[in-house]
Amino acid sequence: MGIFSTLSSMYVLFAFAFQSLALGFVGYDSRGRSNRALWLLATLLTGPIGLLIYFFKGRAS
Amino acid sequence: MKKSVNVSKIWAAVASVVLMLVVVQMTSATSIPQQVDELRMKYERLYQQYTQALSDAKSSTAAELGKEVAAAKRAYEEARANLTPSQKTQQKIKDTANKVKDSVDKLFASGDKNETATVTASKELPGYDNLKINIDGDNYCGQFAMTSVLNCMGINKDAQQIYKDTNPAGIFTGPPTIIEYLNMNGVDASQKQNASIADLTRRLDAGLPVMVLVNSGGGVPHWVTIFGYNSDASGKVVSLKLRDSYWGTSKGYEIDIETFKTAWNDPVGNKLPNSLLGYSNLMIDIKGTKQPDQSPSALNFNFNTAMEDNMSSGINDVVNGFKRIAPMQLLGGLTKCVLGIPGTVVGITGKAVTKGGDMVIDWGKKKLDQGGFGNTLLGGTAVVGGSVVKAAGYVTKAAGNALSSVAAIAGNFTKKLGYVFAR
Repeated sequence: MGIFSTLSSMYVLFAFAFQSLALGFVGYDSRGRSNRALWLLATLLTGPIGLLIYFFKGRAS
Repeated sequence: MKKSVNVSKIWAAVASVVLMLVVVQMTSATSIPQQVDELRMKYERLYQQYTQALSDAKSSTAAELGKEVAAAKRAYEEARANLTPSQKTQQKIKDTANKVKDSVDKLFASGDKNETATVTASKELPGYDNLKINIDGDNYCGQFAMTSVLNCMGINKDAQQIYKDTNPAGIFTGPPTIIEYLNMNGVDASQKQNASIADLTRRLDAGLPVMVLVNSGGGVPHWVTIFGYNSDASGKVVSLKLRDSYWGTSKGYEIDIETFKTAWNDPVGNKLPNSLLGYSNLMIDIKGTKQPDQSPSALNFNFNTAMEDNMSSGINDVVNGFKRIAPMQLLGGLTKCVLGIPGTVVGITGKAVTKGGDMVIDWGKKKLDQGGFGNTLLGGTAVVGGSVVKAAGYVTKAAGNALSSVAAIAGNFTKKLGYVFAR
């Protein structure tokens, strides 16, 4: 396996940490507009892409 | 009289099973971790190469290998010494094993001996048994197996070149990486999860080899090429013939079918992090030769294992792209890893939920076995509830696979662009 085991476990940990932070951010963002549940679902299903779109379209200026 | 003999047989069988479970429990509690297994494999492999070099009378190679063997042995023994169970535990294991042996001996002595399987038919593809394969590097089982397939199917490929192309960093090679390389070198290959022994023999009967992923010990996944089988008078397969970088380095190795089934069913073991890869009875289905693909296929994954495929091929592409200085491969790997984040999280959550459901079902079954109204009610509810949880886990895992499929297509397409525009 070599470093594959290490890389795969690091990747999984990173993925969970990233999704937790992203969902936490979208869920509790004070500048979040309406349809928070939809934004949360979009972020859950698309990860970084959903978060990126949320930054541009989901936050009040 | 006959009845009492049968009862004693049953008791002996039950005692054997219980004691075996105790041994399994005790040995698993003190099992040598995966790193030690890898060091052992490395030492054994180098030792085999060393003895081969000695028999070939290549004194310079033998001397060089001799040093490597000594170093690998030292590393393995040092690692093992740190993890050797205490004298007391070893004695306990020995005592329990002796008890199991006694019980089994008693059972067999009472006349219930299993008949030894007799081989009456044999199938073997030509060329595989004595093919010389030399690779310098680490964790090259996938490359060793691919070399045997390609060369015996008439496609001349240097083993070391395959290693440089597909695993220059010496890490585990995921199924999509193997399939991509075979397809791009004129072998029509695809991936099949949950394959059967009949699937293997069907290909072998058609004159085609099969690559499979097995557990080489301690949950270390390992690629082997199956090139033949033996069957008994009833047509039941009793053993398989394989070439690989562990058991069959210099010539073919025959593996007992039951040992193979166990190793094939669970190639990654149940310990984290390897158990994150949910491969089981995985077969690289080779359908023959074809015109080599000019670029990687965007659909190179299996939906049932899309999460695992995306993760393993993403890591392979990032590491290989970096080592080979192939920017588009690196970018493709990064695409798979970044876009694969939601699929990985959802898929692994689904797997965890499924396992949780299994545990609830098992607990419920135990309660049902205990009998009584309360236990029956509790056990029945747990079995039904566990089944619902398990079903929810399957659906969640499927959703994770769907999300990972999108990431895999995007990543493979990015890599494909590198071949189309830059090569």
